Amino acid sequence: MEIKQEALVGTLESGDMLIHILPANELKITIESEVAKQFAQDIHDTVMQILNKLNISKIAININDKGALDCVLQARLKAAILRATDEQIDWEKLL
Amino acid sequence: MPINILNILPTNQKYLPKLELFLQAYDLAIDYDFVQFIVFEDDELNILACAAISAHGIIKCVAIKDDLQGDGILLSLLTEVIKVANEIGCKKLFIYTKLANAILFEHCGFTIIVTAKNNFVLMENKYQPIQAYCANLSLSKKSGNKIGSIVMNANPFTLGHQYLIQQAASQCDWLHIFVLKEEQASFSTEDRMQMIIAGCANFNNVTIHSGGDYVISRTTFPTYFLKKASLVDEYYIEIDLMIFRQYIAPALDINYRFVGTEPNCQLTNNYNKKMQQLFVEDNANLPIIKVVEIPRLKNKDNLVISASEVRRRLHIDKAVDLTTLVPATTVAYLKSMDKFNLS
Repeated sequence: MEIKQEALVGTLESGDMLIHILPANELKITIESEVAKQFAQDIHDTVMQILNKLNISKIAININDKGALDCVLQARLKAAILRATDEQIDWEKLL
Repeated sequence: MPINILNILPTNQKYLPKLELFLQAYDLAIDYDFVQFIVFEDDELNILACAAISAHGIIKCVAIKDDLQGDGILLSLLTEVIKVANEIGCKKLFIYTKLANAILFEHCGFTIIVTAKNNFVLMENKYQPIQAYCANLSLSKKSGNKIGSIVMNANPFTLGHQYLIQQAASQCDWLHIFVLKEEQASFSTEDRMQMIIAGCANFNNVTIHSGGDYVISRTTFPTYFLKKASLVDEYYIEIDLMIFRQYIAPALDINYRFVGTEPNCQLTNNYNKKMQQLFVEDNANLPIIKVVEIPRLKNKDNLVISASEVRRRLHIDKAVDLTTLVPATTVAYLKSMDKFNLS
């Protein structure tokens, strides 16, 4: 799946995260988190899982996490990806 | 507590006095260079918090009501600001604030780039850092004992500019020229770049770079582009110079900067003086940059050759003879532009 435009999703409130997606020539994930030491790896793993499922290899993702649960991360990330592409979505892969 | 979010535009003359009053209590004044003011109000129409965003992505006039400070309002406020900025197409976000407030903005994903006068800081979005611009610059690093630099606008490229480059290039192993990237009235950034490139064709130790957001841009030096002098000029001057010394120069091993003497413009004169002071003072092991002032080239009537004079003549007569002021390459370029009638 190709990332065509920028997308910004989420908020900086406690329990949420702000995700900014940009088109890129490589795969780049930046994670800022209040609980980075405990959960940065988990966040990274979930992101990679979703990217692989949707077959995305070129993307710049910037996450500013304020202690969001995994389900929130998934929801925000998927929403951001949806906004960043204009391809037809394979809903089975997305959900 | 319910919060109502308002988006105030510069045209909303009725609301601005109310904002002005609110900001006064925090020693802030409305900076009229804004695209939108994001305001949080309670149900009784009292202002709880506000922040403004300029067209160039600078966040300013951030204030939160005293008794609400510490409640995380800044996070909600900045989320709104970031969203609005994204909507209006700001690619990068910057904040000018007091050092004491920097920690609050760090929680919102911003990081300090430079500090001026021990109190005034410029911050940018953590993930769009200046380091990326400098890493790109470093690809053009050259070796040598004397690596020079010039920052120029070239609006348009004159014999004066060419003379400065020639003097600098002859004294250095390599010369890096930074071109102001901001679009201005008379000549587009592309025009200016092309004229500089054409005018440098005969120099074989010169690299021309776009200054990007970090070299005299509307972000690092907003007041440069205003016609009148501003009280805060000296803060911005220091910010711009420190960015050059801390980030740009080390990226290319620059140890010399060349400027032309400035008889006419007070701001440029102040800038050059400050540069001579700031580039050599002891500062956290930053390498020293020697500033070399080259006397401005004069024409045969003993007048300093200036780009503003060229623009003035073109304004009066679009077919004017400019051969005493600009090199042949600039004349050729101007000829190719539709809006002039040079022969």
